Amino acid sequence: MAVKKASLKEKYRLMTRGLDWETTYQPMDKVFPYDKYEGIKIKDWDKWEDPFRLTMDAYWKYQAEKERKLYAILDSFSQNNGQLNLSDARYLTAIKLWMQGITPLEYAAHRGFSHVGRQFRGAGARVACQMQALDELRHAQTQMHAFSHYNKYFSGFHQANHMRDRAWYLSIPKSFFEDAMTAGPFEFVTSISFAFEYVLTNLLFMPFVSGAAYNGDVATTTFGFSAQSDESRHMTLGLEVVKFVLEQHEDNVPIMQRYIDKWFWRGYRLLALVGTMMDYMLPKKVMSWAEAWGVYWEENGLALFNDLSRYGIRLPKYHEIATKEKLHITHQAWMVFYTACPATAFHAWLPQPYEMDWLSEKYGETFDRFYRPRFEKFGDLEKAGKRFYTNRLPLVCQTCQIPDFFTEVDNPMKQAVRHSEWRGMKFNFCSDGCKDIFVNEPEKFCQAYIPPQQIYQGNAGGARTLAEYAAWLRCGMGTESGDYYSSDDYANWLKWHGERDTTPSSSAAAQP
Amino acid sequence: MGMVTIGAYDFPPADRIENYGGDINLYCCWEHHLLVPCPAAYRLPPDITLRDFLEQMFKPDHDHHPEMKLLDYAKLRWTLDSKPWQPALDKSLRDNGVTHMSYLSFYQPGLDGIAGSGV
Ligand SMILES: [Fe+2]
Ligand SMILES: [Fe+2]
Ligand SMILES: [Zn+2]
Repeated sequence: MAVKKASLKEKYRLMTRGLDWETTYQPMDKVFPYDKYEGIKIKDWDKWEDPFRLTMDAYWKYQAEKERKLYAILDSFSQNNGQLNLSDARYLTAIKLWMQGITPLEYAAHRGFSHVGRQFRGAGARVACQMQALDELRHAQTQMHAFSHYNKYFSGFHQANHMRDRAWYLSIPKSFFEDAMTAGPFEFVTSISFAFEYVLTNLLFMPFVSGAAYNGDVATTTFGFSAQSDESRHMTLGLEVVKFVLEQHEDNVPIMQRYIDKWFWRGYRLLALVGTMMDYMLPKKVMSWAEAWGVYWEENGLALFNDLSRYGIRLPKYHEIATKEKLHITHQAWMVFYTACPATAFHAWLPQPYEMDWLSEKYGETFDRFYRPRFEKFGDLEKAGKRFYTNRLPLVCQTCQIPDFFTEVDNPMKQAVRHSEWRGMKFNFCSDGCKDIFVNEPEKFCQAYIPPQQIYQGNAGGARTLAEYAAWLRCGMGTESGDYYSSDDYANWLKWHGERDTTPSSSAAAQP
Repeated sequence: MGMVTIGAYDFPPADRIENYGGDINLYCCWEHHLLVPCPAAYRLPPDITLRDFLEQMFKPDHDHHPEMKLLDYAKLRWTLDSKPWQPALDKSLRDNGVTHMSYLSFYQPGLDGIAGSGV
């Protein structure tokens, strides 16, 4: 008997929605208990447009092919000692931060999408979340594999899991994702799929992958290309979710607006770390944070929200603050890393003269007036043999968990801080954006695990000072931690290059 | 607006004062001096005087700063939780109304950091 083969479209329909049914032994509300409590009203799940249109068997085939190519390149990279062709070993600070801070987020995304992939009663949404869950698990694994080669030659890669639950700077990405994962399913997809993957992802992915390419990191560049097609599916999902929910019921608009406000601000705060990578960690620069913000937010982001205005959605609250801050935050964040690097599992350093020139060129008066004097003062202290490290724990924002290095947008000399009281207790924040998020959900954010406060309460092995805390992190000065130019990484780098310092000496070499 | 949850949701704040063994947490910032890039956190007993706190804890953290020797307590303009405030230096933190998680800042007119750059 001749078997008629289904077309791709038909096959997709049969394998996704065709497998779905209305439950009868148990009411649907009991089978899907979480997709109504947020107040989001869905009248017709069939209106969901599937963004992926991929069946499971096609997915496996396609991804297996990509991974074969990826692992072939990773093998040849390690067999040919690819680490020696990096622009400079300073570059690896970016990759260490990625391995410690972002790779665990890929895994957290896998868990989050697995969870909501069970919770939506619409089959189309469930299938999309399931596939993204698989993508994210692959991203975590392939990143670890791509970076593992560096672990043989450099410090700071070997204990990402130990660091993740303890390091102050990793509580920033960790708490970001835990906030999303403990929210309702609609807030989760708005936060991760829309705000992060759709609106802000270009600010994360583009600089990371091009930065790797410019700095000779073939392993990471190849990972980036292998994840690119996944990312474009994730972006499609993010936009589809938001449009679908907004079209379903007008009561959904204010709820979605609050989610967008919250997650734009949280995502933007998290990206301060990426901006710092672009401006300070890459020996060969790709573009500045301010330029990236201009292209990806001020042009593309604003255009997107123009489109969304027909649904009654306005621009995210405080977006204009983010734009004003673009000239400051990366310099301020690098100051924190420079002064606190005895307690980080990566190295920091003073910008080289060619980098100071590049920063002046990109940031003009802002850099020369406010930030150059600090670096020059630190340079003087270094020359006098008194390299400055801070020994005090900082105020950390109750919401975003970033040490509060922010200043007022109209006065970069003035420390920014905001306060709120709840049930008789005081809480402090870096910004109005973070304060608003707390005021909407104090029951949640009062539980935040703020590293300096945990240290003072005795929950970091009894440490009271930054040095005792670093020991508890298993970070040693010169190995995992401290200034790059007094590190083992630097000493080894010189040895492997016949004592030749590869630090680029002009920004001309850095142009793409 | 309260939180929307799937059930009863009530947990104590992680940094409640009971967890500090009789001490309090205090934040302090010297305005226009950002070489130490964030306001600092201190765990300390509430009956320490403000002067002792400044002399024993705050000043040593900033001793690398060239303007430290110009600091004059009589000229400081204080805020408590970002509101103008007139403390008594020889009174305890408690008697000055400083409580757990309070944020102090002071500014001395004329001291605007290295090259007037706020650091
Ligand atoms: Fe991913
Ligand atoms: Fe993704
Ligand atoms: Zn914050």
